[in-house]
Amino acid sequence: MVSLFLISQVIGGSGTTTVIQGVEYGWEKVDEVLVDSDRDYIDFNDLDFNRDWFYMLWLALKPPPGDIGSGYQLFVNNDLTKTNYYCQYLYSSGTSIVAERRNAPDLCGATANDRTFTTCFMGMDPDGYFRYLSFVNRHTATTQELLVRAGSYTISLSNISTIRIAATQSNGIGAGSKVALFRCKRT
Amino acid sequence: MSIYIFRPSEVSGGGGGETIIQGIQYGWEKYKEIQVASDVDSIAFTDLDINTDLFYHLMAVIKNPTGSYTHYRIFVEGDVTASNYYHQYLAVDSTSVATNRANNPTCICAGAGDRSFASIYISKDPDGYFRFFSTSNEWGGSGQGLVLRSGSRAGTASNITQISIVSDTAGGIGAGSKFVLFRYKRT
Repeated sequence: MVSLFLISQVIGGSGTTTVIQGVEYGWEKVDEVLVDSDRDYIDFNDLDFNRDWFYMLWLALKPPPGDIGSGYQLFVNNDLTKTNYYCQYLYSSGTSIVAERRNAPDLCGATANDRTFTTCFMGMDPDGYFRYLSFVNRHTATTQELLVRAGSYTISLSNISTIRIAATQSNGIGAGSKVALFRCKRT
Repeated sequence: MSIYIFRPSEVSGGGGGETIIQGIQYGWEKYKEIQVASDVDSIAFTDLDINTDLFYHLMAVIKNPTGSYTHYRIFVEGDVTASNYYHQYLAVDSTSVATNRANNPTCICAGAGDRSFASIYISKDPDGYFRFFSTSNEWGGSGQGLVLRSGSRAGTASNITQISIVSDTAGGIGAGSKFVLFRYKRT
């Protein structure tokens, strides 16, 4: 017999029944990807933003070995037209701060032979526009950098069922990259 | 009565009348959520216990249905006197970065008829001061903006049991706005 546990249930039980206290609702892992060979993109399907409201991504990405880095962008519902998205970023490197708005769904990036660790929150606002916030740690040691981005989609949607993380360079998601997607499990 | 501690690797099901449940014992638990059905001035989360939970995380999508630019402020313990709080912000608009300190706890803003998406971390520091850090995705399209805000309350509290978000415009939290509060379930 399978029993769903409830937050309010108490550790313990009687007879052969075991009732366990735990987290029933919260940030639940939807899926994870460990990249075993270089690829162009990662898709997450069968999502439901109307049901879950919020999603969260954790990404540890690296471009494949070589002299070319890659940017990584975030698309929804298979709309891969970059100009349908905007993002605003704040970039900090040493004593430099740069701000810019771009007509693209930039998520994060890594230069050649380097890596990035990024977290990203996503939601659909009350008028149906996809929005995200990303927090980027990239480069290492004396070139350590941070970026924060806010982005959105220019078309109102009735729901979001897919997201794609796409490299701007061919095969730009290198082997060893890891991505985990969490949903806000509400019910 | 036996006490049974479950582990995430365990599998739903069991033999005989035994029930073994797969799940998460500790972590970010969805504690409360609010979906706004009609325009309101404020929303509140009550029955909190930050001494037990240590940290809260609030995700929000807000619609401003009014004709005025609106500030959304985060208050604790029923203290809604804005001047009892301060926050420092960094607002990023295209290539411009503006920063300042203000004598209020604004955590999100939204333009007239516009929407915002935000992630807010909440804590009480070791000396009892409420602190928050918000990252807010504001405006959209070719005006996409990003604002970081770090704030605190000038007075201490022995616990935080209530958190409210208050609009400075009447009816400024529009129908369709959504809030999810996560607690750090430690025990």
